[in-house]
Amino acid sequence: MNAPKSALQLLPEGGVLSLIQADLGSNGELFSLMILRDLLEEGENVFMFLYEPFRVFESNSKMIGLNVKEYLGKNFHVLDAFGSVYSIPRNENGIYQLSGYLDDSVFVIKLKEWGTKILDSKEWDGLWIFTYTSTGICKLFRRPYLVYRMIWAMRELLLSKVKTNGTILTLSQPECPEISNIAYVTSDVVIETHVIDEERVGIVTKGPNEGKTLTLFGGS
Amino acid sequence: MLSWEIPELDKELGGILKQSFILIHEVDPRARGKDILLHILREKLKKDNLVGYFNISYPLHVLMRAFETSGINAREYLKRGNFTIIDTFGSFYDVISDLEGI
Repeated sequence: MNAPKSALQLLPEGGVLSLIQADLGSNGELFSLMILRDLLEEGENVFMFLYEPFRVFESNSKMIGLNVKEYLGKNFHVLDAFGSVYSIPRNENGIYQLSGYLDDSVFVIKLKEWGTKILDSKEWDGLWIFTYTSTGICKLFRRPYLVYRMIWAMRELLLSKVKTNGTILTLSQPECPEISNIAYVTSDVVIETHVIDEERVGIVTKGPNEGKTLTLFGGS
Repeated sequence: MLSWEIPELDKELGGILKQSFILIHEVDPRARGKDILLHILREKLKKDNLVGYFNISYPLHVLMRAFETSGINAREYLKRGNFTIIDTFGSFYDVISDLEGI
């Protein structure tokens, strides 16, 4: 079994998996995109919260052989938080943005209104939720820790009616350590990616398989 | 002396002195100090102790999720009345809960 698949297998149904890139050189962010690629290729429905520029996400996806535009609007939907905050319009089908003035609290209120509307618009059971990257929040808001906590509160409220298959959060520890710390409270499984002896590995640091090590990218 | 609900700690530290304050300082989140706290809380509730919890850092829904992940049926204990949460976070940021005991 390939490494992205083994990572997914650690997740209980409907659970939350945090992939924390602890060493920048471990490419944990790319590993997370490989999980996304596998899910999309298998026809699973994925909703992504994007806190990085769309172009960065798109070109990083290309590096692991994922052309996101092939799936957008079909089984892949994106809330473009970065583009919303910096008013970078995108017209692709399947990309959603929040419009108008946004600051910390207005973002949370508008996200809640949008979330309620979108959840009522169709059947979402069996959905995968993804973030790329949760720590990107620190580039967007004045008090990112508070915004992140409020988004979590809202998530628990909104998703009480929807049965999700699972949630995968992508985080880059050096970029925003405090958000990575919250991940431990909210996740069922945490995998940290490191470079050990020049090998890129994922270490399970929370969950039933705690202590297990995964070799990423075939070790190279 | 009261039990830590962790036999190793009872043995090493000889239990908890009544009315004492204990600080669990999680220096590294990977060390999972919060889980020690939640473990003690879960076992104390199981044994029908009265527990009060000051919620300072998290929205209540996140806290309830953490309880659930740790095997604590908080709603049941809140209803029964042997568990209560003083929700400072919610009071500060206006996150209202209609749960009993909060």
